Amino acid sequence: MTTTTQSRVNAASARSTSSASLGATARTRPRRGWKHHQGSVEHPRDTRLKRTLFAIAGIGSALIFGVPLLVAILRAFQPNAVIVAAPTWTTFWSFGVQNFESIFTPSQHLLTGLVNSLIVAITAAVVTAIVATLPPSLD
Amino acid sequence: MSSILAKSAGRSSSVIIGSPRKKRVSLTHPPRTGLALVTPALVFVVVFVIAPLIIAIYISLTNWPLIGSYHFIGFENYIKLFQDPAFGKSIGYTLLYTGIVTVPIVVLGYFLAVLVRAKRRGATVLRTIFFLPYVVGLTTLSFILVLEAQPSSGLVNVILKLLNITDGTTAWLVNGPLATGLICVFIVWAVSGLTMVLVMGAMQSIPDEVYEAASLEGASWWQQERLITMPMIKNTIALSVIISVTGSLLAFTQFYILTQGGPGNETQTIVGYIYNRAFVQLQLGAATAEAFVLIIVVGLVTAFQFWALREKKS
Amino acid sequence: MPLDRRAFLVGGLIGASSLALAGCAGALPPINSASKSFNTKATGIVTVWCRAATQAGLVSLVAGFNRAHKNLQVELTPIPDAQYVTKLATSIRGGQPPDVVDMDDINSTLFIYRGVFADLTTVVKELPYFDRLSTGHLRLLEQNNRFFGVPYLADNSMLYYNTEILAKADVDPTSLSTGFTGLLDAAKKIQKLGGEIFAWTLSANSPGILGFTVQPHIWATGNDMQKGRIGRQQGNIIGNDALEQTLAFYRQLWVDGLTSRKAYSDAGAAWGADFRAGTVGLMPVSWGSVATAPPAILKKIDAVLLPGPTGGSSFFDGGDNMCIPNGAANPQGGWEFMKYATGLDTQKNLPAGGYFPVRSDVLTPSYQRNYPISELPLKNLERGYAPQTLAYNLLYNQPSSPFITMFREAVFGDGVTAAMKTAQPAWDRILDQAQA
Repeated sequence: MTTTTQSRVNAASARSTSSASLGATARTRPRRGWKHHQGSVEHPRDTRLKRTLFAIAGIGSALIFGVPLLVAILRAFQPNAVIVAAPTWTTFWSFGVQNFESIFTPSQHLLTGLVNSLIVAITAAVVTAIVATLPPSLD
Repeated sequence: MSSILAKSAGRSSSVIIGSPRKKRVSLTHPPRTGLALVTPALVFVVVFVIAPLIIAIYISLTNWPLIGSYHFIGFENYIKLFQDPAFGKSIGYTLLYTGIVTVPIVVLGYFLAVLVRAKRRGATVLRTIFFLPYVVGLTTLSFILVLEAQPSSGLVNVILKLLNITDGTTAWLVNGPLATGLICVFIVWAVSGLTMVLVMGAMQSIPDEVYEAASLEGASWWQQERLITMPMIKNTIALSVIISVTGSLLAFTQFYILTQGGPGNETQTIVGYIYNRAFVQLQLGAATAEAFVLIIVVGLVTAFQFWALREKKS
Repeated sequence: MPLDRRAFLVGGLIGASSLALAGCAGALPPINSASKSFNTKATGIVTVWCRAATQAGLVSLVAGFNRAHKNLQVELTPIPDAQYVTKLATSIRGGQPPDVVDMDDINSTLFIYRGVFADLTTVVKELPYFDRLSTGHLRLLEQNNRFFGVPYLADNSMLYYNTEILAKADVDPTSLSTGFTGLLDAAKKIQKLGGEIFAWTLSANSPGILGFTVQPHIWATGNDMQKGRIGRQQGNIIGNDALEQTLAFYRQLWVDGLTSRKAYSDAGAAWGADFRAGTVGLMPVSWGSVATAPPAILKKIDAVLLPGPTGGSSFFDGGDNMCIPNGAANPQGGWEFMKYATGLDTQKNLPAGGYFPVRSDVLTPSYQRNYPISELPLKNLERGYAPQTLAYNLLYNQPSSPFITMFREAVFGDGVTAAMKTAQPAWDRILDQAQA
């Protein structure tokens, strides 16, 4: 079973590369909606199970990846005393903007650093683009 | 550029020999113009890569201190660093760290790519969320982790305490093995987004007809995954592995911010050790010698990977 | 002429090599205060670098200096502490050092040893208050009987205590200076008070704090952890009885529960917060971390010098030294600024900023009314000490330093003897590497 599938796969891929270059956009594609797609094929076995699995895995992963970042943003608003102490439900939600006020004072040189970073990043990108494309562009 | 040089070489050889060989000089692309256009890039390479490399080789043969005068000492730096137990320990630790994180990063990246490559509702949002830690960058995330890994007040311990796994007072960053474990989990979380993007791009370039044919054959989802997707994106996975391994061998930021090399030397990576030698011990000569050894180590590992992951002509 | 590939590459390589060799600059011309050019009138701009930690004081100092001098103006550049040594070394290498560097006194030794600071012996010795200056700072500025700078401010460690808590625990403050038995007795009595009160504060995960507060116990006996002349030193760990007793004392504090369990991982981010809140009886700390306490608590704070195991006393002579790098553009202006910084008017206002003066003749009755807490170090300047070694940063101030490793091993781990045994080779290895 495996080998026949494999040979069919090879044949199919050989066919597809040639057809792709001839303009596959001529083929109309079926309507997409809630059907599962591996690539863009309509899979007949898209059951509620698969959708539920996707939902669970998706929400779980989103929480794992998103919650730490959210917490980090929340921490930016907490006063220093709250951050270094053991958190309780009430103190965790006490927000203020004193941290932001203190970073924008001139003695912190944050804006200087920002401007420096922007200059370096933009100059590097521009110079790289020019130098890299100079020889071939005039060929 | 090589064609220009080849033409010039052809021309010069014909001038020297003086035989009536036909000169293949292009009329529309005179060599001198090509040379002039290539010169800026060449100057950049010479000034910023080759000259510093020559200086670095020279420095590694001296005892160049950051302050004061230096003298030439030949290969003494190299000999001494092979006898330095701390350098060997840092190499061992870096290799261990690389070994631990590479497979999880690739596997998690693949799993995330499988999750979001379909055109379901919410897939794009998920893609963004998964890639966000990589975009935020290791530096910022490491500083955040410093706060959250504190005993009693950091959220890592608070959550563990809520789940009754520990009593919430583990000082993660003060203990070698605990810090290593925490950093490995942290890195896998932060960096899999890149693998996900690479693999997802490769997956979406697999033409649909291939899957059509397979499902007509009656192949299950897992069989399609194993027999179609994985072989066809093998090159991308190899690329991800190489990127991940090189990045792990050169890991510095997270260790510098989180543990500064750990209690004693326990979580010191190679680059961290070189940094220490150069900017804390102020011995640039020894540090440059160590950096060259690092270049050789990374080069060997990468070459091995290219060989092991090459296309097998069967 | 046809440019073939070989000629092109050879040309490129030659160009690269010549660039490379051009990068190897030579040393800057040395400055000596005995020379005639030094004693000309100072005008123009003086570039001064200062540490970010002591920045606030210098900003007001510079403002005052600029107001008082018409033809001589100072430009101040604060540098973050962690990058100070590297940036200074790089600027000296690059041939453009500042005129005056106000740096951590511990780091000045390394630069002086490598011969990159100006020899100021003649003018320093001519200062009328030369014999009143802090001996600890001056030792770090002296090599081969020549002086390479002046002290500017002092950051001293003392044993601060809460008078109210001690009174409640029935502890006589004079018993604190008798030695470790006195300290342990006092600590046990304070701990018995219970509640939120702790007897001692320890930040055992901060190398800087440990070096600052633990070492004076050892220095009080006249011992240090390095022996030998600078540049040829070895570790003095095995056989160092004062060190052994000090480590045993701290182990006792931990084992008997006389300090909070947080000490294990406290890296000193909120150093002094518990003392300022009035929940700690005894704490070795600097004035800077105490001065910001609320006035109600400040009234209840007093201090003694850190005692040795059986008496004696010492304190860490930290703070800033001011030096002039060789090759500075305006050394005369720099010296004018340094004289101003060590003048009486400036020095007697230092405690308001959290530091102590470096000259003992500020002790006038009015000064003593304002800042009684600074009396003890100023009256006992000769007891202040700071180690003169090329590897201080590596031996004490880094998280991987053998000092903090030895301390943690002795207090939380296998014990004092084992810790000292593994520390001796580590000390020797680092000193070897630094003195190579």
